[in-house]
Formats: sequence, structure tokens, C-alpha cells
Amino acid sequence: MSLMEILRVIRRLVVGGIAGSLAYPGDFAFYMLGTIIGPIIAAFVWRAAIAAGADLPVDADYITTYFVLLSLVTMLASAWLSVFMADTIRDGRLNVWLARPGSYLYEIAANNIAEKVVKLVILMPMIAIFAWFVRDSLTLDAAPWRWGALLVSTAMAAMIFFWLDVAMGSLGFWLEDISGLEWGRSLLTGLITGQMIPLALFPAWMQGVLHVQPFRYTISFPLEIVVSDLSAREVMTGLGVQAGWTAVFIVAGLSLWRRGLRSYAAVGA
Amino acid sequence: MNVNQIQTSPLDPTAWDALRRHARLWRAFVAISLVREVQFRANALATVSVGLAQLVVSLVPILLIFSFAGEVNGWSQADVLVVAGFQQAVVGLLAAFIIPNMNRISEYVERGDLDVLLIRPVNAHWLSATRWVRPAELFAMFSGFGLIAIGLIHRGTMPSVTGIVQAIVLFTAGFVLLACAWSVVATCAFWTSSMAAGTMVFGDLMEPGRYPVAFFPRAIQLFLTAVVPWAFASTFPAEALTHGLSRWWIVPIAVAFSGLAVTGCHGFWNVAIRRYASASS
Repeated sequence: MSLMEILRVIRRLVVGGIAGSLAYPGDFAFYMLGTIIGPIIAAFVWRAAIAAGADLPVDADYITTYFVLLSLVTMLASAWLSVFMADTIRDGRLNVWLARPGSYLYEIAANNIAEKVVKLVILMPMIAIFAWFVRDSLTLDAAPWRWGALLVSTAMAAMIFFWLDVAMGSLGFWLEDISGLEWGRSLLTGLITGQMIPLALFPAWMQGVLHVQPFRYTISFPLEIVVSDLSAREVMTGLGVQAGWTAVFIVAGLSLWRRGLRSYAAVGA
Repeated sequence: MNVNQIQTSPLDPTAWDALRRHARLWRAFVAISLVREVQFRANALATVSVGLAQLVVSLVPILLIFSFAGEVNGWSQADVLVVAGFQQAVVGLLAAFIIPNMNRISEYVERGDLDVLLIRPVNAHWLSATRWVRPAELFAMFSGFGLIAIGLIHRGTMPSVTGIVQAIVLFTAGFVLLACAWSVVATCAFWTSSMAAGTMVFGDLMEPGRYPVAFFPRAIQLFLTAVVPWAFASTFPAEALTHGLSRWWIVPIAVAFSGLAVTGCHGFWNVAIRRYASASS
């Protein structure tokens, strides 16, 4: 298939996915409520600490803006497909896709994009309400180029998570159940992506490791672009490093997927 | 089938007989679940390991906050560890006895499996709320108690006998209140056909219980007292053990609220069950 044909297939799958997602608006509203609850709690707890005189390396504006934007970046970057993918491989539903001219990866990519469109519409009003409550120290006046860099960085973060999920899901070719691995991954990434706590709040002796590890470039770095005082040079360097990590995850995900397909033996395959 | 029907059924001439029969059944559910846990030892071990890892990760924000501040709104690190311990213990209890059942109510309604529960000679609400038990999750409860002990040792003061009694009563009442709140959310499945996402959100609402309600703005404090009552389940019991309850009347109020919550929860189920048209008939 040519690139144009692939894009056309994905576009049609996205449209179908949006229509399918709109059948469950209540469920999606609950999911988005779940996405924003964590940042709301964390924001208020850290703001209470600051109000009580905690001497943090960042100020209340940083904390507030970080947590207001966190649920948006988390939702746009996340992939949530590895367990479904492993199930599809294990129970043989992948057979259907092997008989089609388009790859199963187009389907999961389109599903991810479609759900994000629907979730974005539902999540934005929730973020707006949260932002209104903490407007006293919310600063969204970053320069336009920083918002542009945030978009680019979030898109690359989405690629990293997507291909990480493809790699994790591809383990379903060899493993009966990947839920344990997936749980371990989510627990670890919750901590080192900046999803639970801004990385800037970790002790100084951990900063070196936290700054070079790839997961910083999924949640923390996109947010740092607009909430911290990173210089233009630092942002450009960060985007370059992020592009490098994105390439690594694409290669890892594709390799595992292709290797798995060669060893695939399901009922009817 | 409601309580009155059970009381007048040939199986139970009196309400006491009904209670005893339901207690015997529950004992059987626990015994079956223990056999299941022993059969799937690896899964039980994984549950214990997951609980331990989650506890460690959940303590990171608390340790970080108090590396920058000595006290937050009158609560020291040791005090907050006690709060987090009560939260962990309640979550363990909910995960062992309540969550496995609440997650199934949507399935009962969606698939029509509730038919099978309704025709049995037991109270259907009680059966749907107690049938499944996961004993391995009780490890989280014990690790919560361990955390409470660590917090108290770190604090360097022994709680008074009154404080311990108050904490036990408040903790029990808080557990009942949270279980009822979760049950009400799950029972909404009778109107929406599926509340799987709703119960998932309720899982996210376990998070704020790790912190004293005093950390939050007034509107959220009210929410955490009246809607998702973490104040009763973690903050007040911790206050009783650490500072001593400044408002003694919270204890009888918690007991009264939990009684009202059980009654209201059962009433809500009875209203909901009238909407059930069965998916299989």
C-alpha cells in the first residue's frame, strides 16, 4: 500500500472509530473524570504545602499550571492499547487482520486517534472548570513558540507511548498474559514520567537520571516547555533528544511486532 | 426478594434465623474464596506484591512534601503516614469484600445474570454485595495497619485508650459509608445498563483519602465528608490516634450516618430493582 492509501484507510477507520466512541459518551465522561481527578488532588495537596511555607524548588504558579495542563497532555500522549492488542493476538482475532490488505496497526492507531478526539471534547470543559478554581496562580501566558513546541513535543510523546504499547502488546505473541507487565509498567511510568509528581520536585541527587531517561519526554518535558524557564536552546535540544527516543521506540515496537507475526500460530492461522 | 419475604419464608421463621442463615452462607463464600486463592497461589502472591509496590509508590508524594515542609495545616509527616495507613487499610477491606462484587453488578444487569440471583432464597441485594471475596487483598489492610504503627512510632506518642476506641469506631463507620457510596454508584447500572466506567472513577476517588481533608479547599472537604466520605474513614480516625478528636460528637454522627447509609443504600437497590426487566426473558 502506498502512503496515501494507508492515510486514507486510517482516516476512514478514524471516522468509524469516532462514530463508535460517540455511542458511549457517558463512559468516556467517566474515563475523563478519572483522568483529571489525580491532577486535581495533587495540585491542591502541593498548593497546601506551599501555603504552609514549604520551600519548593518551584513556585505555586508552576505547580498549578503543571497540574492543570497535566491531564490534557497525559490524555493526548497515552495509548492504552497493549492489553487489547495482546488479547487480540492470544484469542486469534488477529487472523481477520492478516487476511486484509491493511495492517492491524492501522486499526489500533486509528482507534487511538478517534478516542482522543472524543475525549478531548469531553475533557476540555472539565479542565476549564478546574482552571477557574485555581485561576489565582494559573499562568498560561507562555510565548506562542512555546505552545507550538508543546504541540510538537506532545505529538512525539504520543508516538513514544504508541510504539511502547505496540512493543508491550506484541509480547502477547509469546506470553499468555501481559497484564502483570502492564501493571508494572504503569506503576513505574506513573512515577518517572512526571504524571504523579513534577520531576522538578524530586531530590537533586535524582535529577540527573530523571532528566536523561526516555519517559521524561512523554509527560514532563512537554509540560516543562510551557511551565518552566527552559531557554529556546534547551527546548530545541530537548526536542532533538525526544526525536531520538521516538525513533528508538518505533524501531523497538516494529521489530517486536514483525518478529511476533512470523511466530504467530493461532486457531485458524 | 426483600427482607420481609425472607423472614416469613419457611426457611426462616424469625428474623434471627434469617440472619443466621445469611451469616452461614457468607462463611461459605469466604471458605470458597480461600480455596480459590490457594488454588491460584501465583495470582494471590502477585496481588500481595502489587499491593506492597502500590503502597511504596503511593508514599513517595508524602515523603517528598515533607522533605520541603515540617508541617502542613497542622499535620506532620508522621500524622499523614497514619492517615495514609487508614486509607490503605480501608482500600484493602474494600478490595477484599466490596469491589469484586460492585464490579459485577453491571454484568449482572447487562447479561441478565441477575435473574439467577433473584430466584435464590436469599436477599438479592445482600447476595450481590457479598458473594465474591478476595482474601489476598487483605494484605493491603494489614500493610495499612503496619503503616499506622510506623506513623505512631515516628510520632513518638502513644494514643489514649479513648482515642483507640474512637479510631476503631470511626474506621468501621467510614468503611461502611464508603462501601454504601460505592454500592449506590454500582446500582446506577439499572438505569445506564453499564456502570463499569463509573465504578472505575470511584477507584480513582480512593486517592484523596491518603491526605487529611484539611489539605483541600472547603468545597472538596465537604465532598470528602458527605459524598465520598474519606474524612470518616481516614482523617478522623487518624486525628483520634494522633491529636485526639477535638469534636467528640463526630463518633456518634459517624455511627448514625453509617446506619442511615445502609438503610438508604438498601432502599435505593429496591427502587432500582423495579426497573430491572431481565436481559434474558
